[in-house]
Amino acid sequence: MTELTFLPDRTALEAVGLRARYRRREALRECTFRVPAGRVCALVGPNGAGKSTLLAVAAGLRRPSGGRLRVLGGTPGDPAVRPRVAYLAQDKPLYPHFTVAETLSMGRALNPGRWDQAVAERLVREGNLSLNARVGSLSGGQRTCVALAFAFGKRPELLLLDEPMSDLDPLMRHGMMAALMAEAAENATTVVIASHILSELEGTCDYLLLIADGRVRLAGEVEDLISAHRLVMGRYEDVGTPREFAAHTIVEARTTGRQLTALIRPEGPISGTWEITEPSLEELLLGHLRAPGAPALIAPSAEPRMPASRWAA
Amino acid sequence: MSTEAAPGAPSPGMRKGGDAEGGSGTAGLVRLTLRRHRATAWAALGTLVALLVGLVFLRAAIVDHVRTHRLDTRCVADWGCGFSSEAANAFRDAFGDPLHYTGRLIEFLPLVIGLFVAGPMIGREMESGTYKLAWTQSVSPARWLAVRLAVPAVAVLAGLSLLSAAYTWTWRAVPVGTLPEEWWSRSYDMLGVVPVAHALLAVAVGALVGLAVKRTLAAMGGTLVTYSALVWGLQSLRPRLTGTVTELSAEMPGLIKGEGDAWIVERGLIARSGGRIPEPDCGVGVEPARCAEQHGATGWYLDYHPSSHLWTLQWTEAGIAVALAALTAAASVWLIRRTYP
Repeated sequence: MTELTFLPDRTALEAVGLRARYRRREALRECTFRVPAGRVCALVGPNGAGKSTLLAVAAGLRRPSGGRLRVLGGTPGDPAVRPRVAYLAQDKPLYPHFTVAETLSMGRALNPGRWDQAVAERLVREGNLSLNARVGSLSGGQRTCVALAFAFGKRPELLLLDEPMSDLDPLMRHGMMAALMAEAAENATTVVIASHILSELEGTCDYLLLIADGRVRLAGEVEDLISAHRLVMGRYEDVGTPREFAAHTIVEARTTGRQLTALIRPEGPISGTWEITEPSLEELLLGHLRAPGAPALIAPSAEPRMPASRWAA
Repeated sequence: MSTEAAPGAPSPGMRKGGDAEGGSGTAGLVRLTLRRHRATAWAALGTLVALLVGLVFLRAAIVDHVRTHRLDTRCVADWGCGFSSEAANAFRDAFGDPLHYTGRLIEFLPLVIGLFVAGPMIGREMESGTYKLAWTQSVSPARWLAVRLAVPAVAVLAGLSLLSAAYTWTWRAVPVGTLPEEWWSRSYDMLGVVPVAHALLAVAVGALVGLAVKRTLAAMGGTLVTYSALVWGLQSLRPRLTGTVTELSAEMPGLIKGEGDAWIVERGLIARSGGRIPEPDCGVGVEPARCAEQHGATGWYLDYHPSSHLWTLQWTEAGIAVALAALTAAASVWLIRRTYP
């Protein structure tokens, strides 16, 4: 919305030692990361990793139990921040008795001065929906479509999407994703998408936040994170991991028969006769999801930049 | 009521309309609340109009009957006038039930309104998760709650005030002697400002319980219990809201005062020491005089509120109920501010 969005140093989300509870369980513990503005960030992690809790805290629906989270430079839920953040909850809540048109008109009434009816209607049309259809009579996928249109109509600077595509069919998912990315690119919206569907993230997200067990495991530009890793394959018949890997950080190593496949963070050239490739995003994520104990990797752009005085919880 | 009944197909380029609205989104919240409960709002309005029209006709018929049969001169002070008079019996048959049941309805309306606020208005929104939609727009949860409190409160102030005024106006046309079961002390909960104040309390209690419980049915159950307990408390406090008139006598006073419709609060013996023995236990079939002798008493006392106390009692109780409502509403705002950012 503002020209400031285009400054590379602007921060959309920034957490230091963030903790939050969900149903008396510590869902987030000591989360520290930063998401620069203007990125499309994938938020990945196993079930119960704290993805939804993180998004709910950022949306101002839940108070953190410790640490700090700054959203667009302010506190979540602050009157100056609230109008600039849109959030789509996992269950896509909408009023079932409202028609699509009434739902959008509610969006306009609740976001005075911000609402963009044309954008919202364009996304509704993308899903082939009638404006006069009652929300309660729509299928799950169609409701998702309305909910996405509602979130985008607010013209947010930061869009938080919790499992947005889970009940869309592949065709609709493709169409909605493309429409979403086009809108996001046009307005330089920062998007954070929590998702299980790793394939839908490939090619759309340029930033990555992997959390497991309430902690950040990976954070940074997708490109940088991928190039920091190598997928190593080769014949190996001994027990344990090859000695020549000792100099590197092994994220995960598996042996199938005589074939060894390892995801490693090389600290220099890898010796030995191995087939070395750059992992795909999906391979990178799967490797880290399988090995929750692997050391975290936080790219420099994902380090919080809050003044140190504010780091105290 | 239906501020936004399907605005057809809004054309692209309504952005300007959005911008023009400006403001804080409070108007949007009010519209959302009314739209979400449009059916209920229309039903409530319909019921209100029907009851108002019914009361106007009822009053006209009462006035007509009273004038035709001169009940207004014959039944003013004599509480038993009805039983000996055919005209009074006919009056009772014709108007007793309509007046009584309309009154009951008004008596229970505050509870119904409280249950509605607790369940469909707030509990359901928390249970179904739609609050996540409302609270992540440009308006804060606290403002959302304020509107959820204000809309029913304004509806109560407008609608129930009108209804209670109409009922009081109809009730005043009834000669005191004809319908003892509608005397002021028995119709107290349906008259004047008390139903309105009770309803405001019910709205606040419903909102607080709905917010705390977050489940439709549980919130309604909780409101039923909490509000009933509060009203029970108010009712037990009621006789002490203003000083009673005390009448002393040597003979045992009857439970009916001479002027008919007084509200007897307490009757008992006055001991020789000057102390009071309320409702002394004399055993079955003991003469009042012997009873007084048994307790070594010098005479009897009777505490009562004459009908002239009605408005003092009403305004005092309404004041307490509104203060309680304000406290409860403040508690719910505090709760939402503390729980959510």
